[in-house]
Amino acid sequence: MSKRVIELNIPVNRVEGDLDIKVKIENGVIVDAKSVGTLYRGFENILIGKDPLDALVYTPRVCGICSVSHLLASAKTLENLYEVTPPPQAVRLRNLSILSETLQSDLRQHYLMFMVDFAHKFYEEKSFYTQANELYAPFKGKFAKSTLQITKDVLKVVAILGGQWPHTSHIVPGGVASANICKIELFDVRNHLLKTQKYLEEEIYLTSIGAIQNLQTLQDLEEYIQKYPDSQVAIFSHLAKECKLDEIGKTGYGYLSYGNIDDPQNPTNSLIKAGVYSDGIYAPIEAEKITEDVAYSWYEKEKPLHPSEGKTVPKYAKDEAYSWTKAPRYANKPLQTGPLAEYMVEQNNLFIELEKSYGDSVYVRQLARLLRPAKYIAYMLEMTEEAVNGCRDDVYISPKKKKSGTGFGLTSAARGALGHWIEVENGKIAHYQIISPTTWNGSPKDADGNYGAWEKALVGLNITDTDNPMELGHVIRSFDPCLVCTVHSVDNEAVSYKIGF
Amino acid sequence: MNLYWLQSGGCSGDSMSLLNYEGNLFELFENIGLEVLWHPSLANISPKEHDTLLENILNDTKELDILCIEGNVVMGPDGSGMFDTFRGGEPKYKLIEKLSQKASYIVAVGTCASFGGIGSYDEMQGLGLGYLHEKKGGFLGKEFLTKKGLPIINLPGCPIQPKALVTILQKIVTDTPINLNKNSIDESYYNFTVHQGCTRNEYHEYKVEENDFGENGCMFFHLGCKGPTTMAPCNKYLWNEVNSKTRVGVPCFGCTRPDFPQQHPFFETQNIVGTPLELPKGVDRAHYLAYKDMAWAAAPKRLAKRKQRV
Ligand code: SF4
Repeated sequence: MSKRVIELNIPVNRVEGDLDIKVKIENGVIVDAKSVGTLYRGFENILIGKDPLDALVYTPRVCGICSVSHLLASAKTLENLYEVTPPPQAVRLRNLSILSETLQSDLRQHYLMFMVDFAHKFYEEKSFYTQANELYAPFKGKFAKSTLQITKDVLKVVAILGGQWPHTSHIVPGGVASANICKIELFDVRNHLLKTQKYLEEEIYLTSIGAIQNLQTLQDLEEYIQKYPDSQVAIFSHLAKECKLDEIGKTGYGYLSYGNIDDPQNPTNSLIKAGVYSDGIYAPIEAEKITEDVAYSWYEKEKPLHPSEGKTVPKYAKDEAYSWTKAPRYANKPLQTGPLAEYMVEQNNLFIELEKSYGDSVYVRQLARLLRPAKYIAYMLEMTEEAVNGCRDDVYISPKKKKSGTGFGLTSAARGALGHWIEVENGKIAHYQIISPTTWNGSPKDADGNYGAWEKALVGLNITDTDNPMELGHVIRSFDPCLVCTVHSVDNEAVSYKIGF
Repeated sequence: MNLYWLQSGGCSGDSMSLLNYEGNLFELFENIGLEVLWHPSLANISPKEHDTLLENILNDTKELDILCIEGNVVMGPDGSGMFDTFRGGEPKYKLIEKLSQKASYIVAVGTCASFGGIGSYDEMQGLGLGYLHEKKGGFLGKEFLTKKGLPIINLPGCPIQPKALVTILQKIVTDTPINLNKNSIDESYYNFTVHQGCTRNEYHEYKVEENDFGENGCMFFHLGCKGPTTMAPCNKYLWNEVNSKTRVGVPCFGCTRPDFPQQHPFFETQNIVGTPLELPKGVDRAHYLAYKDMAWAAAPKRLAKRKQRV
């Protein structure tokens, strides 16, 4: 039998048109995958020579989808540099801002990016096709519409606290700039959150947030699905299983989370814990173990370096290289990050059991995103009550600005672990490095030949229709790709380009 | 009418902002008879269908009415454009060039597409479609007009306000005349300063100024606020219907200005003898100085003591 080999170049992004997946298919099975970041924006280089506070304006603009997360990461980075701790009330307002952004992103990703695939005519023959169209068709589906409406409400929370969404800069080293958030504003915040909770309970889960939080075992989940067959969790689970999404997209990689929701009393600690979870073992983060590898990236060769040292010189058309994305590794290993990683690192029993049964499949990864809003909204309402009580307290401590030094800040964006690193000399930025969640998940291979997470998830995948590789889309979208945030710096002096193929 | 949306060197913040439109965006498109042929976040067609669509537009079998471009045109490194490629192959600018020949209307969505914006001062070599900062030309050249003989419509903002875009789309669909100013900006939408309507106006009047975040005052003299020199209705049509940056105490960064991002620190006002280097448009410096000194002397106690929590 002769082998049928096809090479495909597939644009798969739904948020930014700058992600391509190159796959090699033999007899309908993917045998090699390359994740290609096709856009270089050079933020880290833009920041060199700028005032350190300017990072609060530039970095949110790395990504219009998670701009508050970048803002928070840059403020934390500067706090680490200036050795200042924000007061508790500021931490509460920051938490509310970032959780709002993440919650809306989870909902939009699930309905506007992920579920729409089931309404595609690829699935015409399936019995679910009509229902999937009613619920998820772009522009017209019930959930396409209602998600759009409710997420606008969630984002009003960021606007109330920070002026606008996206691209505000109310989070500053030492606290927040918005000094007059008190009862009137926070009652509004609460109203938007209660409305969101109602939407989640009445439209998505069909039960209380508390009941979702109490799903602790696979059996709990199955019982819930049986009891509420019209809930979005049940419908998603059926669709996913019918399309065998519980069997595909596995990487077997470990999980990375920088934690989430800073403790107001001790903001370097997070209420949702940070760490690495790998082969059933939890370990706290050791930031010095993070390196970036450029073996397959369009940068001059260098050995894998910590982001505080990593110097990158772009070199287009370098042999073997195929991406503007670098390959971050933790103790030389690739990891995955995102909502599932957050659950695994906090050792949530439901997800530990799910992972045991279905691996880190598309189903499990996406389910994490669908359940996470229940966890967040509960925290947010609690945080709002605390903020109401503390609303006359200080929200800003003016930091004593250092002329030189280093700092870093780790936080979680909707898509997972986000880190910034800074070095300041003579009061100006001398070095800035960003490692975004998509850099982890969508990284190319490293020098040891390890695939990045979503490349790994693709190898071995069956493709039924190469014109419309739906399975591939499901796998990639379960990672919630967002390539705009793969930013890298270029050293201006030593540029050497070879252009063209 | 139909619309094709292309993202180039940007952060998709404009797309995200558009989703915050106060009404129901999807219904609006339907009501005004606007068909979205392609938008990376909204359309659901397979790569193959997308290819066919592009091919048909480029070979004139499909008429394209409106082309929206978000993000700047990336020319780096060294003019090659390879920092932003289409499907990892050709530089994206080639596609932008070809599509620009086919559309009746071209809307530059956001400051990057309009004037270069983020990355326009750096090795990314980002160009606006019709301008680089204040200079006409940009990527498509000084003489460029669309197939219908129309100039590019610039809608700056980092990000754009959803209402700005929705208004323009409605004007186009209903064939309403659009007045463009010298920077090719839709004049009716951008006809106010950010300063107008800011809740800190009374502080501004009496020169009660903030030196650091959160002090209750105006941010013009020290904290870098560009509100009085930036044309955008942020304090008239509020963000997310509820607020604006300057109202909560974040200075205006001048993000609709052709020179955005400014090349001096954002949180510091450039001063000459204690007065901002850049004064509100058309203001005489000597008079302004005299007025501000008197204003400060006349400041009522409730303001001088910053009692008013804005
Ligand atoms: S803070 Fe800015 S926009 Fe507000 S009054 Fe002062 S100058 Fe005007």
